[in-house]
Amino acid sequence: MSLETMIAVQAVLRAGAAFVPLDALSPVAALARIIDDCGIRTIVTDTNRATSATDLVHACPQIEAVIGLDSPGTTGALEGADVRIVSWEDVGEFLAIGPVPVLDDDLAYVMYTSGSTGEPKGIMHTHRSGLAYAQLSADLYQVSTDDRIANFSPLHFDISTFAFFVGPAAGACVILLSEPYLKMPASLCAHLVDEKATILYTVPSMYMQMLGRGGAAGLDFESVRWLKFGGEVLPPATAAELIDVFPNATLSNVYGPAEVNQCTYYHFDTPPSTDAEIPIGAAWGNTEVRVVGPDGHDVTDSSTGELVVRTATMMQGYWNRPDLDAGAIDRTIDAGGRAVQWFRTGDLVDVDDAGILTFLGRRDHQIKVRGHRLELESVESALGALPKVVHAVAGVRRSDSGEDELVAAVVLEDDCAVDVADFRRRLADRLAPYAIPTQIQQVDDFARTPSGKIDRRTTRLMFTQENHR
Amino acid sequence: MTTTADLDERLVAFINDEVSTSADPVSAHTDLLLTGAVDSLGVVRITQWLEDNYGTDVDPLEVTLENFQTVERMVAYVESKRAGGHEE
Repeated sequence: MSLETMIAVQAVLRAGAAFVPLDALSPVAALARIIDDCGIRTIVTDTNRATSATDLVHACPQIEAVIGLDSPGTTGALEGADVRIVSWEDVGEFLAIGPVPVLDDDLAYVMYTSGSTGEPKGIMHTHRSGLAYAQLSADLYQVSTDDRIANFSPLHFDISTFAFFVGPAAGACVILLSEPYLKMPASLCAHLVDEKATILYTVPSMYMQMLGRGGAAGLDFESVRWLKFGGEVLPPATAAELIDVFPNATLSNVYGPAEVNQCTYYHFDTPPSTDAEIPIGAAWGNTEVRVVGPDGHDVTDSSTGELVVRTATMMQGYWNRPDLDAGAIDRTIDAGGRAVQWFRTGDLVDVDDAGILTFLGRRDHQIKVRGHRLELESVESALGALPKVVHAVAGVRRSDSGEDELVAAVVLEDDCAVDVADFRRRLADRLAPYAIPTQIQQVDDFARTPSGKIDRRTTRLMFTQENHR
Repeated sequence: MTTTADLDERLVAFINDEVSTSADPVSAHTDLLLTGAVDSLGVVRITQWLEDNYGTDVDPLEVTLENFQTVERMVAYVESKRAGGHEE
């Protein structure tokens, strides 16, 4: 995350191209699958990611240019490769392009997430959906030129769209927190105070680190007026602590899968009830939400169902995957014969009499780890492919500090013992860092269903309840 | 008595063997935070390692960019802590 990141985003959009954020810390094979999937020809990077960029060029012959590498030390490994290397200094001469027609419905960016078998799944957003998100956010949070928005998220994490789109749209200052700050809560907190940030938007686990190791309680955060959080559940006790430490801030629980950006919000500035989850609230502007039963009709005799949404911030669809579109988007035909698209979030919610929604869980096995979306099956299949592993089950455990941790249990071949360090190293070749379980436990066998299959539901529940024994 | 040179090597080895998520080996001068070799969990583990192996308490508020960017800086930091501890 650097000034060049913002320049790259604005330049790509203005050039009529589309950007695809990649996580440089993901395994090369996983990134190469994305690059193949959507035909990326130019990589934009900087010298700190030279190794990753070099590996990608060698893995993906269709890459024609790399922007952002300069000194000989960082380009040496690319000698002989049929690729054009352009430094940030020379990038102005890279492509001289005149005015390009860019329409609202043109593709602006593709956010990748991984499907259940680990295959890449590209969420396509247009200028229209991105700008609608910027406008609705600027309105809801009354973002102005007086604001200083702190960006905590890498570009491949959709929370970053707030700083990257809303900041420029509203003329606000954006504080791009570089990676080292995000690993050093004490330095981070001091920096946010120095920079007089007014809007913070990050995952609950980051706020917990700021309150804990960051020593936030001892600092003067009076400039902050919004504390936005999303991606995972914020424990009510942490919310109360934040209200205490940020005297002028309103908390905003932001909800919305990457397919629709944001779609609901819940604002509060007094400590929430400690025995209930913080609601995800109600629909924001230009958005309609419904709670439907398994038959796809609005629930009538229950307050619980799947959340479906239509909104101005909706994606165009999944990159080259009409099959996935069909599974995720319901089309109804209105009186004029026009198709109306509803996105099925896959999230189960409860709706109260006032229409306030509370998140209950997933219809499938998707989980969130520090805000990253993850299918448990993809972790299990990577574990299952390791030598000596017979069966693997992954699940989530809530740590003592209230953070969700990805954990796993494995059954190994006879007389084998688990070598966690070795497993983690091997998994790093296949999975993104956040998708590697923090703990891998060896068990003799798993709970079984009456038909003899592994009872994943019971096993996962065991993880959840582990520290409540 | 542990010497600085010893500690450098053991800490570098610990980071390479158990903490680093990068394929490139780190040295005492590698910028651990900017290169992505160490993530936030890694910082916590390094802090714990310093406490265990150096017999000094690390104040979370001193786990800063200045003190933890490289192995060299970490060692200088714990050395200064230990020197300070003797004075008390």
